Amino acid sequence: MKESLQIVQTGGSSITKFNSIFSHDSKYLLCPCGNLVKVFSVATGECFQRLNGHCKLVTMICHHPRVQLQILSSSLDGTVKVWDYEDGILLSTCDFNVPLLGIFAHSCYSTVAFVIQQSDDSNELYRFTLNTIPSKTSDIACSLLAKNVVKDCSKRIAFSEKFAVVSYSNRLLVFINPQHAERDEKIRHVLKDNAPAITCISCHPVEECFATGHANGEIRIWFNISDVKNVISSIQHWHSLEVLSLKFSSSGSTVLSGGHEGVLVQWLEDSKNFLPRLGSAITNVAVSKDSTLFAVSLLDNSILIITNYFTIKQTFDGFTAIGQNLPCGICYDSNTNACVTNGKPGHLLFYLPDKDIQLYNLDIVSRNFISSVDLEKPLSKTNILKVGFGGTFDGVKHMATMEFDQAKQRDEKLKFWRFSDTDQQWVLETIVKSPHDGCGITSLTFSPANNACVTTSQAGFAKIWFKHDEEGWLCEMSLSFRDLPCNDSTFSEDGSVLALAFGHTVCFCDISNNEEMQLMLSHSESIKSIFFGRQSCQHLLVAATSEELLCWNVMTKSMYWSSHIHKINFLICDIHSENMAVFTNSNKIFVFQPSDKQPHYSHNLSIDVTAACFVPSKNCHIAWQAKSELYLVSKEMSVHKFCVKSEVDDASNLSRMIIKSDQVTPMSNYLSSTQQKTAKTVNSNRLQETTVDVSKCSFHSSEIIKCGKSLIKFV
Amino acid sequence: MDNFEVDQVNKETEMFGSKAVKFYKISNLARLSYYIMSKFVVHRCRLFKFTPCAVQCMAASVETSDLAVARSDGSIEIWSTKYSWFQKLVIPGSSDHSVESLIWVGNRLLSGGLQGDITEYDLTDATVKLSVDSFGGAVWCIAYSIVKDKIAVGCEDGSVKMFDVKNKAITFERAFDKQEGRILSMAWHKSGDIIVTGSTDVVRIWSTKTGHAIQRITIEREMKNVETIIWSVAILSDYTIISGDSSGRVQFWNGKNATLLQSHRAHRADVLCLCSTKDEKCVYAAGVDPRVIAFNLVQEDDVPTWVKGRYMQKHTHDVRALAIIENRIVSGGVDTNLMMNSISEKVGSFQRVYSFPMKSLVSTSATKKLVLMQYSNYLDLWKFAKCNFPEELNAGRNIPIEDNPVKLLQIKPPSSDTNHICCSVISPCGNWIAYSTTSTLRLYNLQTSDELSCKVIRVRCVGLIPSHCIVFTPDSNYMITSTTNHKILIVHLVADTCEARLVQMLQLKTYTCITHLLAVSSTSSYLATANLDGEINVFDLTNMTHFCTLPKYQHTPSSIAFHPVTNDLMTAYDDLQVIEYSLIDKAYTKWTKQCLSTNNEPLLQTLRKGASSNSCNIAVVTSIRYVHSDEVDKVFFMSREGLYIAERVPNHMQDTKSHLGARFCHKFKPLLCTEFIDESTLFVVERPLQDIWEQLPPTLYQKKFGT
Repeated sequence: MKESLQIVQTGGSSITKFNSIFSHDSKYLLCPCGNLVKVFSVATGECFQRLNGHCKLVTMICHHPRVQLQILSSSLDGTVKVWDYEDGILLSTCDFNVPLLGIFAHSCYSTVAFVIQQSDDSNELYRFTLNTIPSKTSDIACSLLAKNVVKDCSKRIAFSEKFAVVSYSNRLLVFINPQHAERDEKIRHVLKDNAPAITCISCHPVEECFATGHANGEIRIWFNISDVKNVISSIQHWHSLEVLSLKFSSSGSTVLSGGHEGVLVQWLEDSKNFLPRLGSAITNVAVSKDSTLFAVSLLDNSILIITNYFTIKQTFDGFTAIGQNLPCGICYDSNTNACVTNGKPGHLLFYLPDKDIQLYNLDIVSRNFISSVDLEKPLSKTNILKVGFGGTFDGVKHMATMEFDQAKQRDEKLKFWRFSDTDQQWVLETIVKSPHDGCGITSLTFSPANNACVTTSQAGFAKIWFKHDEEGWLCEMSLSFRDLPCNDSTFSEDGSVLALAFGHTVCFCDISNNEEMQLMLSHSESIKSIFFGRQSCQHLLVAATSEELLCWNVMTKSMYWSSHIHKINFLICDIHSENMAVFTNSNKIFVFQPSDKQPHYSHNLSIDVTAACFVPSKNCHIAWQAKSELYLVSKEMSVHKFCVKSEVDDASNLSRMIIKSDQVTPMSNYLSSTQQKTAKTVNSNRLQETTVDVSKCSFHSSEIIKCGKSLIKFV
Repeated sequence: MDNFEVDQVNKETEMFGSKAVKFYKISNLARLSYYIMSKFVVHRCRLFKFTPCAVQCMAASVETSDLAVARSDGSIEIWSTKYSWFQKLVIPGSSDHSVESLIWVGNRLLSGGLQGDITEYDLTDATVKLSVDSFGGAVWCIAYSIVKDKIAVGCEDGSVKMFDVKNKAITFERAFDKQEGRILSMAWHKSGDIIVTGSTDVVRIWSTKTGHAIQRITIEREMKNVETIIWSVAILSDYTIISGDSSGRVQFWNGKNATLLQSHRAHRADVLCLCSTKDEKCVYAAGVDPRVIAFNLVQEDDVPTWVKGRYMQKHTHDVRALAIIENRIVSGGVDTNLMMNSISEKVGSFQRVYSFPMKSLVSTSATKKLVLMQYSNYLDLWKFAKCNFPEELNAGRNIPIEDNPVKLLQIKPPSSDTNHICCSVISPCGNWIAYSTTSTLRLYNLQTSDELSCKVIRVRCVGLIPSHCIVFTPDSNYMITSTTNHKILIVHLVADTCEARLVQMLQLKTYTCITHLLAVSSTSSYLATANLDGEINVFDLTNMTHFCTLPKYQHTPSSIAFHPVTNDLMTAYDDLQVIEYSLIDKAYTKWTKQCLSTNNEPLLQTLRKGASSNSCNIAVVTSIRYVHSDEVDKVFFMSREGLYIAERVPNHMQDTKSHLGARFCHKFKPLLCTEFIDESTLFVVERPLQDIWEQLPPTLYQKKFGT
């Protein structure tokens, strides 16, 4: 009998897409994150509570107007939920049956709250009474306040003690006393035709004034807002690009703003304070109630807690891979038990999927982030294209990365790293410039048997790198076959045989004895990726073309089985079990073992999978995941895994049972302090690097090319 | 289009007197070309190097909504702003007269300058009326109190002097206590009891009753050794004092107890001028950093706060003066133009008022191919460039120049006459040159011996009076001038004997203001005069009598001209309306009647659509030229912005369809002169704006993002 499985989100997704808020006592930061609301402890940086209950994206959270320890959340699933965020208990649900884009409440209007309802043609702002939250839609007394609200409304609507402002791109509606105001009791301010569009808004906490941020970087402070004719707007201009977020401090004496430049600006009456080089565009700013802490959300999915004297106090990293399509896929690092993938621009992200903890971002390219002058023409950045991890030999573990600068088309670098046990960090060993002459690297594989690494390229070369004690990593062999592009490489589990996919042919080679094997397997179509089977399937080689999955028996040199699968996206292999998984473009997954043509498991996924990885685990209740669990990353960068249906409910219950601790545990303290440091020390160690020029290896490569040709003759 | 570059040393011209003639090198800046335009050959001349002067200060009259603008050469312009921006009159400056501040006392205009006196101007005559010593050295600032009917001046020696201005006089009344350092700025409170002055590092509040300082506010220094200069102060009726200083701050003070209310560092450099609106809810500040910034009063819970409002950045150079006229804020400075913005942010856009004078600075002699160019204190006489006309004339083609233009003469008033030239003209025959300063009118006879050398002889004539406007009759037998005492002089000229004789002095009793326009019909039989009140009179020159008076139109005429055949008088007004009057019928012509009945807006206004609307004064018609043929009349209305060309069937022909067409040609701009040399050649003098900008001083450095 097949278990009925279901995928659940375990982590990932953006914590910076929507506004985060501080708790009233400034101890916690609450962030909407996918379908969850995460509660972070400001002191330790731990995610200490997950409010799990919405079945679609949570769009906005706000404080309950009366009860200090409660929050309201709105979601695309059409409900408003009331939570006790310290205990993580869902208190009540109010179903609107319409996707909700936002919710607003203010302590001055204790009985009402405001929601944005999404309908087909316009988004509408409604007011509803909070006194008793009924469960039936028909009982909710709503009154319409404004129509055609801009979709990204959380930054464009603001409430203060006496008034509320709804901004459109070039006009503003002001409601005085919004808890009673009717739809037509509003004051309209229209900007001039050539005025830049409004991007964000914030109300002064006490006075009758508010601030707007604009698409050209201007900030306007509006006074006299109840007077249509004599409204005064004062223009400040520092940002060169669009202002993305704007907040008054809780006393109203300063304004904080941030934009694409990655600089937090504090506007005082006559001067400005700057906190530059935050690393990415600032999407949101939150201010604690006592104005001592600011939470700055960055586009790279991290939140910085900044003190009022502009030092960074705490960093919450979400799944920082946000906004990329993960060119280097996901690798498993056995050292840290982490999944490794692209993180911040030029960084590798080490992430623990089972705990949804981000270990650190490792700076690979060591470039400063700068914002582009023109958003239409973004600056090119150096991407990490491939990453690979080697086994541990002589007590040393290696990693190799491949980076590529989009601006300088040929500027690719292969870097070899060593994990230093004494420093507990990755140390750069060797940089190889243009290992494949910029011809598009296709794979990077370490040998499980010794310190060898294979890189393959579109140009048709497979280069094999060995570590030498003095010179670092050198290319000792370069293989090619009929000038066909080399698409993938794989080692057999014992490391004795290297298989290379040249076009539609798989060639084999024994790198330890430096000789090619007189064995070739050909297929009619170009092979995209290959994997040797593991454990009991060591003798089997699985290859994927775009339409077909093939399995060869290497010992008998014959086709074992083949299966037609429509539009294969990618193939992954579990190194700890015999399992392999293939994903199609239509989001189907087939989990199989090379020894068996029939898949163990197939499923139609509801998410767009961009990458997936098997992670060793011992406590999974699914039979085929006994040794390792499969984690999926969706296009929206949320991390998912498979769960038995009965477990799903438990999982949400489980999250509540996590020990709540505001005390600083020794471990969490250590983690939070080392995260930043590791990345920085890696940078400083760059002096040790050694550079190897490929031209030195020419002697070896030409020799091997000859071998390659002799191979052809043999055919 | 190609422009011919001239670079050669001219032949030595004959010496005349000690200073009239000099050697010249024609630089490669002298640009000129012939250009064929439809059926005309256009001779474009860019030799005229006229550059307007920087605006020094401005004063808006409450009674007449006139704006007085003083420039750095000491000249004062009066702009009428009621209907449209029209430069009513220019009081020429002189080299020993500076204007540091201007003030309207009712309808009297007073100024103070660095030469240490208070000057009153005669606005009906465009001259200095009287001058009184300040008794304290250079005058830096002036303030007027309507309650006390007194003026106060701030002097170099650090004292405030009070003058009584009753009974059309200026009499010294008293001096306040002396302080250290010159008084640079001053404001008088509405009640008349308190005066605020600004000088280096300090703002003082004076009692006008005792003459003692009541309060002293020390302005904080930015750096220890650099003085803070308070360039401007203002006081509102609730005793709020506003100061603008050299460190770029605008500060608001409680005047009763001299405490700081608010300080705004909105400007990057010195704040030179301040100005508040009538309702005192908004204060404008401007300075070296060429932004005009509004500070608005926000009264929340009875706590007044001044917040920085919108800013306007249209000037390229220092803003030296601000004025408010009705609901508009006007600013002017080193970049010579006036900028106008509506006070309320929502209505209207900004407008630019160009500083080209209304009066023609260039006159030509078609027969001798000479052009006379008027600068503030000398005249240049040039001979046109020559060119060979090819057989075929294609529209839009450039014609190469055969002979370069030649500068023949430079005429300077004697050094004893420090006044600037207010008008000049060369006769159509090319034998006579006349110019007038505010003190003297001088007439010269021009004698040419050969192509490139000539000399001028001063012709003395009894009874000549300094004039606002001079014309020669087309036959060059008479010179007609409108004098500063509102008379029309007619002088008979005899070229052979170099004699001039005053033959007639015409005067109308109704004339109490300046006659700024004169026109003579082509047959030299009629003379038309127009004054600033809008009165237009026609005189018969054959028997020297008044012929008729035209119906009055509410706007000021900007140009008048006679039709070459029918002697119909064409008048262009400053609102771009054009009216033609028939002297025979003593009525509007049929064409005008038709235009008035069919068009809702002024005739030329309709043509101008599509041309720039941000510059408001530049389209005013400054001269009218006719090209007459049997089938069609062409009328050229010249404005600084371009040429309006109207074609029509001549009036005397009996045709129902009299209006053929009209267009606006703004290919050539800004135009300072258009003249027909012959029937097919149009001579235009241009002064491109970028050439003017090149001559202005450098601006305050401003960093731009990404540089």
